[in-house]
Amino acid sequence: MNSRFFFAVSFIVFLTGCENERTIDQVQIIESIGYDQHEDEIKGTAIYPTFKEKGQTKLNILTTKSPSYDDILPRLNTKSAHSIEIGQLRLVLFGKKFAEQGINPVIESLKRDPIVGSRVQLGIAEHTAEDILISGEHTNFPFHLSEKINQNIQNGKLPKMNLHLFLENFYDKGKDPYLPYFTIEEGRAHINGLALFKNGKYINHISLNQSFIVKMLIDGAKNGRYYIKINENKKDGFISLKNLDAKAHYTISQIGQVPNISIDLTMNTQIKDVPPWLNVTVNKDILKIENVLNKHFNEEVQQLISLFQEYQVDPIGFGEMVRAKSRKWNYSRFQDMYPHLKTTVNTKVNIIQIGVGE
Amino acid sequence: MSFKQRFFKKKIEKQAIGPQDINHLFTKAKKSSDFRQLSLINKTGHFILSYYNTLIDLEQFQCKVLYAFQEPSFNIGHIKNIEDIRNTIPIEDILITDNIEVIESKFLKGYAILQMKENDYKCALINLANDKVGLREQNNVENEFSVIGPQIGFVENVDINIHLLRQQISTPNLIIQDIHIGSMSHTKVIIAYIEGITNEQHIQTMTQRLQNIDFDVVFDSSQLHQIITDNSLTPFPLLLSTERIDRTVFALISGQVAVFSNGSAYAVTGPSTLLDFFVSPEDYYLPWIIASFFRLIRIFSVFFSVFATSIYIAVLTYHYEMIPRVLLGPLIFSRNNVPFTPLLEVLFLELTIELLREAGARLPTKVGQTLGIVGGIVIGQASVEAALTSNVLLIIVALSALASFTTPIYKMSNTIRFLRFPLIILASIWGGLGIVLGISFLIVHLTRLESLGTPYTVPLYPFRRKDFADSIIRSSYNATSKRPSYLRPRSLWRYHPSDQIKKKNDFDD
Repeated sequence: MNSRFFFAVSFIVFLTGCENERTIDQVQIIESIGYDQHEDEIKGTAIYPTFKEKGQTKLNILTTKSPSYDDILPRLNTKSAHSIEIGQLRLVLFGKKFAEQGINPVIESLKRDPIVGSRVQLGIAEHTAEDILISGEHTNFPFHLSEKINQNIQNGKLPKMNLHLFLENFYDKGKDPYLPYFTIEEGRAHINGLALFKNGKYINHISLNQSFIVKMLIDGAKNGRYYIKINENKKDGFISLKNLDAKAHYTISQIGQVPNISIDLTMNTQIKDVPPWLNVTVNKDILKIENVLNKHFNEEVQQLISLFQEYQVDPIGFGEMVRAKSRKWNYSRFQDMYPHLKTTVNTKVNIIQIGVGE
Repeated sequence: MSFKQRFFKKKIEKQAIGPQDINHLFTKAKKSSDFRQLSLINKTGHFILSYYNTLIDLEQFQCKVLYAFQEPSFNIGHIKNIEDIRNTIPIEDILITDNIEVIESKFLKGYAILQMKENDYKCALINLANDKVGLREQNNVENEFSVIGPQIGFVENVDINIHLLRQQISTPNLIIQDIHIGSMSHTKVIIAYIEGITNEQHIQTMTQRLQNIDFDVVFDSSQLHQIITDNSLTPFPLLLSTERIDRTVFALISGQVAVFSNGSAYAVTGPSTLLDFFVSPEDYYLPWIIASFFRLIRIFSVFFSVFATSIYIAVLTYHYEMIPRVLLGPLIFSRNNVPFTPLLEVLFLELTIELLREAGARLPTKVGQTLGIVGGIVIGQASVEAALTSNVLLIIVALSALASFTTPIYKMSNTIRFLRFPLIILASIWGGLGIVLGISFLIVHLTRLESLGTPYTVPLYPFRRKDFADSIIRSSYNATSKRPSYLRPRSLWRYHPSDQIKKKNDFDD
């Protein structure tokens, strides 16, 4: 028994020489990576932080070109003193051109790699991913792009998203994925809307305000500021409101033929600013504002849904809702039906807070 | 070699070289300069008293023995028989025997031998022993200190210890049995238990194991502990040794057996469970909510102490992907200039801490303190400055060393510090998998351990719901009125808590 034991122990000792050690200071930890289409080749841009001393964090950029996207990481490895590791990857950015070709292969490999977390954020860059990544180099704040997305999901107008949720929408036939859309504004990367996908290919993007409506329709928003331009009796101005709690409720009828979906959107809001000709302490004016908001949101939702129908994308997941109610759901049949889907929208905006003061 | 041959061979080896007769004993004793032999009366060859003058109390000898024979009213004619000595010498403990083995052992424990005539085999053994000489007087608790509660501990004299015990447990049911262990030392070992509470099986196991001991000199009860332990292939102490009286009394009233050994200030109690080692007497002196909180902290600190450094190694060598984003920077830049792998770094620091502890324990108190400061601050700071270890690791190692000292029983805290090292090695070989393997091995090992035949991990495994009242948390005294059932006590109730309302209302009084 003893000799057998030592035999086993010696195996442990000798075989572990082959184990892949990745000591934290001996690896190049990539935090964001971007893919762009450059003529026939794919250009990969990676950012890795180096932590030398406290307060001296630096972001560094590595770029390489290759005909195939799988070759990007091995090629980056040849440019680095330590091995390139993607275990702390937080953002994968795609250039618009690359995304138009389809991001499926990248998604497939990300999904299969156990080292990549499911909370990785994905994004689309207006011109090239490289621009967006390089624009953040001087900030020397690691993970700032992915944090930007997370922060805007928490407090801003983006619906909940990450790799995990993207995959859910990606593989769900009754739903289409969406990603944040980055542009550059005065030299800084800036989230400027929501990119819409169909079968892994970029279709178009919508504005940030529309993204907020998508957020309310999908998750029900808890946060987010919103501006509305109003025009009444030839006086115009802006109403600024903060959303406190929004919920959408869907009722589906006529499943057999073309379904009719009615959307009840309830919003509890807080009024931040109103034009001087409106008085928020007067009940009459509050009702007036509520009516204005109701009308505005109703139109916005209607418009947005018809826009989605025009693009043939379904980020809200009407297909999924119908499928849940019907036994005879069929993907191609629903595709044909989708542009003719009837929707009725009822919005109910409650102003529950108007601020304190005289 | 057949079994029979082996058996007989052992028996032959075991035969001790005993004295043949009393004269033989005296010839041996005469070689020592502290042996005295004198005649009590002026007739040589009569009333011969033999003793070691280093063992007896000279004052007693002069006042009670010499004086009895030399006072004017003394008449030699009254003593016709050796038994008559009892009427002459005013000492209660006089033994008359001709058994040479008894004579020898008593003689060496400070009894004086009185023979009527030279070469008499039957003689009187007079107790003149002076066993308090050379033993320390003060009995403050030194190693198991607690802020609240009695500060009295045991001393090296077993009779004083039993006296202290009887002061607290005043019932005739407290039974004290002695055994003499040690072929050379004949140490008095005492087994104490409370009849009617302690299960006879525990008493029997303990007595039998002690009686089977063949050893030369028993220096301390912890040696007995090692010899009678159920499994010597374990780093865990299977019996609890304590110098606190309250702890021992609590063990006795819960239905355990306590063993004292002369010359040792530590009592060994058993059967004990794993959780007993993390109980501090202070828990019972503080209100139960606070006591439970501190007990939980103590148990948490055990886990922290065992696993902190191995997790550090596993994460830094293999699992960098699980480091939170905010910790990534600090961890990397603290390790930036360190030339060693995390394993060597950890071993270096852990050994430094162990050295400090070991050196601090060997040195006198005053020097020890200085050493602690020099070692802790200077070496720690310098090794970080010199980039031999990382800042973060220094904190982790220091914290885990600190955490290991929260365990009230010294033997257990040694075990905890020892357990780290195999886990560190496993973590450096296999990362997180290694730690899991280590934990699995530890759990399997722990659940198989027994203390005097009782499972060691009870009430966790085997699961005893009712005994949880005083285990991980210390419940209020209303809930701990029953003795732990795993000790199978002969009577279950310790006391009967009143069913009155919990909030005392002095309005009705």
